Amino acid sequence: MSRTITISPVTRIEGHAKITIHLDDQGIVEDARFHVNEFRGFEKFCEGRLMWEMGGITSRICGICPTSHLITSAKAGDEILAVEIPETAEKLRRLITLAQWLQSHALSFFHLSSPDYLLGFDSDPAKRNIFGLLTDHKEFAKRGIRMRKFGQEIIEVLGGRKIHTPWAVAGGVREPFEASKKDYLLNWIPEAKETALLALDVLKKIHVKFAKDIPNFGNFRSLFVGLVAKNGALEYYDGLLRVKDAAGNTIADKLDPARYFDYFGEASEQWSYLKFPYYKPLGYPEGMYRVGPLARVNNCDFIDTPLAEAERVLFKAIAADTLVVNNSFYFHYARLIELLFSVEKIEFLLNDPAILGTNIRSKAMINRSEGVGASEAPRGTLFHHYWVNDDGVLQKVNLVIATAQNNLAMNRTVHQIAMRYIDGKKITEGILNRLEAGIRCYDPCLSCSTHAIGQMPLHVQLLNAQNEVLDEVKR
Amino acid sequence: MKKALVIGYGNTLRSDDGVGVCIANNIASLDLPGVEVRTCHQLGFELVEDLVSFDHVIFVDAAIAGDATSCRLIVPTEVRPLVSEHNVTPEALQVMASELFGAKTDMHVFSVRGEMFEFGWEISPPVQQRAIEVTDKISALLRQSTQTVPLTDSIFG
Repeated sequence: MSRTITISPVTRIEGHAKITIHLDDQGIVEDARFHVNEFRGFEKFCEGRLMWEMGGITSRICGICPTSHLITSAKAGDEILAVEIPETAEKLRRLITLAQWLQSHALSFFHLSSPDYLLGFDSDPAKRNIFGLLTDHKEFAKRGIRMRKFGQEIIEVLGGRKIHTPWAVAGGVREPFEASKKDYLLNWIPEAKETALLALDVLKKIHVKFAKDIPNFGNFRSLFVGLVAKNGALEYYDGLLRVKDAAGNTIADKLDPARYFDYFGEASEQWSYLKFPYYKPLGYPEGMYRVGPLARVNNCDFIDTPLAEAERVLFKAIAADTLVVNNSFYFHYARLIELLFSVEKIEFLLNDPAILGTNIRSKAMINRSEGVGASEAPRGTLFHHYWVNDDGVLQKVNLVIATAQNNLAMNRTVHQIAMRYIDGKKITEGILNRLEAGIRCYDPCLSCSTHAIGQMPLHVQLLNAQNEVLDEVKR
Repeated sequence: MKKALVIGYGNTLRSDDGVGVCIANNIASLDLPGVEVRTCHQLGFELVEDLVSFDHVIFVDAAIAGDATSCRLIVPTEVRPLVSEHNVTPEALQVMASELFGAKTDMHVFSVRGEMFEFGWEISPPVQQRAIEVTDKISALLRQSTQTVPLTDSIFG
C-alpha cells in the first residue's frame, strides 16, 4: 500500500492541483482538501522594478485575465501619482475591463464548463471538452469561440494586442480609441447579445437536467464580498466594498478598497501554497467568503442594463427567503448574467462620444509612497498594493487575487461533493468529474492565484484514517 | 492568387522563445504578395475563424528540444488533441477549423530549437542563424504555394 506522495520541487514549479479525501475509521469522509502546490513568487521579484513597469509585468501573471492585472496595476499607479485620470481614459479602461469579462466568461462557460453538463459527468473524459461539443453541439461551440473572439478583438483594438498589452498606465492609457474601429466593434453586438441569451437558455435546461446534483455543489452558508457602485449597481471597475452574509444581510458597506487589509486577513495552511483569505471580524475560518460573479450578482442592488437586470431578478428568485444565492453551482448563472451585462455595457460605451477623446493621460511625479488599486476581475475582487520610494522604485508588493479569496469556499465545495458521492474505497470517474466540476464553478485560475505557470491537472487521493493512500487518480 | 498566413508565436521576453515572432517579422518585411503575417504570444481558439479564409497557414514556434530546425505538415486526424486554454496547439486549431468550418487549409509548423530561454529580448547567436535559414525556407514555400493559380482563374483571368 502506497504512502502519501511528497511533492518534489519540479512538481511545485510545473503546477498541480491536488485533492485529498480523508476517511475516518469507519470509512466515512471526514475531510477533503483542495491543495495548490505551485509557486512563482511574482510579488518578490517585482521588488526593485519601477512602478510604471508594473502593468506590463503583472499582466504576465496570466494569459487569460492579463487585462485585469493591467487595469488594477494602473489604478494602484494612479494612487501613487495622486491623480484623477481623464474621463476618456476612465471610459476606455472600463471598456477593456468589460472586454476582459466577456472573453473570460465565454471561455469559462463555453469552453471549460459546458462540456461537463452538455455531455454529462459520466461521459468519456477524453471527449468531455470543447472538441467533444463539435459532434452534437457544433453551433454552440462556434458561438462560444466567436464570443470570446469579440472580447479579444476589443482588447486588441484598444491595446494593440490580445494578450499582455501594456496599454494602461498610471494616470490613464497610452493610446486613444481609434474611431474607425467603432463600427466594426458595434457590428458584433447583435450576435454577442444573441449568444449570451442562448447560453442562458442552455444553462436553464442544465439546471433542470442536473437538479439532483446541484444541491451538493457547494451549497453552504458564507459571506459574499465584492465592489458595488455608489448607487448600488453592479460594478466592475471602481466602487466600494460590500459584505453580505448568507441570509442576505449587508454586514458591511461602502468600505474603502484601499483599506482591504483592515477587513481581510490571509491565513496559511501547511498543505497548500494558496493562501486562505478571510473576513477579519469573523476570524479564521469562520470569515470564509466568496467573490466573483456569484458574490457580485448577490451583492448589487440592481444591474443598470435592461436584459441583465431582468435575468438578475430571475436569479434572485432562486434564493427565495435568504435573499442571496448560497449555492456555488449558480456561479455559472451569475457569470452568464455578467456576460450579457458586458455585451450591453460595451454597446453603451461604444456609443458614448467621450471614448473618442484624446485627453487620455494625467501626468505627475511620485506623490505618494503607497497605492492600492482594486477592480473586479472575472473571478472576483483583485487588489494590487505597491509601496515605492521617491523615485518610484518598488519596495514591496502585495497582490490579493480572486481565486485565493475563494480558497476556503472551494475547499468546502470539495468536501461537500466528497461527502455526497464517496462511498467505498475507490474514486470512480464520475466522482472525479464531479469534484472537478465543483471546482470549476469558481473558474479558478491557479496561475493567477499562486502567480504560477500551468494548467490544472488534477490529482485526487483517497486516504484512510492512518493517512494511507487507498486509491488515487491523476488527470 | 492563393492566400497564405504566417503566424509566429512565442514569448518575446524569454529570449529564444520569441524566435517564431522574429521569423514572422522577417517574412513580413519581405512583403510577399498574397501573404499575411501575424504574431502573438500564444495560440487561441479565436484564431480558428481567421485561418479558414487562407489556403495555406504556416505556424512558426520555438522548441525546447529536437532538431535545430524542422518542418511538419499537420495531417488531419480523428484524434482529439489534449489542450488547455493556455496551450492551444496548431493541431487543435486544425481540428477546429476542419470540423467547425469545413476548412481544407494546408497547415505547416516550422520549429526552431532554442538554446536560451532566460528573461531577455535578445535571441542567441545560433538561433539567429536558424531564424535566417527558416525565413528562407518559409519564403520559398510561400512563393511556391501562393503562385499556384486556380484553374478557373487561369482560364478566365
